[in-house]
Amino acid sequence: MTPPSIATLSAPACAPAPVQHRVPGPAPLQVQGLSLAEPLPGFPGHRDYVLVPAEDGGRLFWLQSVAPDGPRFLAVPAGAFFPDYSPRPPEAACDELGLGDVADASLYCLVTVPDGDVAAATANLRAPVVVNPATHRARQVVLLDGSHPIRAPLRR
Amino acid sequence: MLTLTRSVGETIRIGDDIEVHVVEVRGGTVRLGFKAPREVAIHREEVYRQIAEANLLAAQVTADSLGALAAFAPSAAVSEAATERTDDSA
Repeated sequence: MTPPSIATLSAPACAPAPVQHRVPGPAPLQVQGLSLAEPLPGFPGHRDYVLVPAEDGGRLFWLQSVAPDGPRFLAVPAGAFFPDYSPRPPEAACDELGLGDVADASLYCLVTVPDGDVAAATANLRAPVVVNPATHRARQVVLLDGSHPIRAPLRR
Repeated sequence: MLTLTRSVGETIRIGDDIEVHVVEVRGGTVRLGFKAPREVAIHREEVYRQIAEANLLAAQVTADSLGALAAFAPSAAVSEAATERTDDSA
């Protein structure tokens, strides 16, 4: 049985910090299976996804549920679009994913294109999908630090 | 909805492995502590709802705009600028 963790909403973040997250790539064109520790909020029941490159530059990926008619998201490697982005996921989330050092994680942010207006596209920096690239386990982690926007413009 | 009355220092147990501790009550605010398995995510409701709404919108993105979106990456801008500088020096 998994030992329980203590979490309060002011839980300590992963040490050490600040950190530079690894930018996935260069342009890994292979499909990577991801097993989510918890379904994405809003999409209960979907834990098994594949991460598929959406273009050749390693900047856009589809996060696609393996289930028939399952959801599909556009995800960007955080470092490719937001080089200064260095969040500190809660320690419990890192432990659960087997990440001894958060710098080992790959971070992806989900993209929204409001009404198909590409110029208004945003990425969710508040809740990145944190991936342990060694185990392919992942989860969307809601950062306790509210300074990271849910809708950060991709075009800057 | 089940409602229970608890005092500071008391606990509520949900199932076998989730505990909710009443840590502090001050004015209209209550501070809670949680013990839960690692896989159980604990969120403030309004934040969880915002993330779920953002995810629902994110699931509607189509493939139409991939090229334009990729060009927004600053790394792409940097490599283009580097190319331009190379051209200038040539």
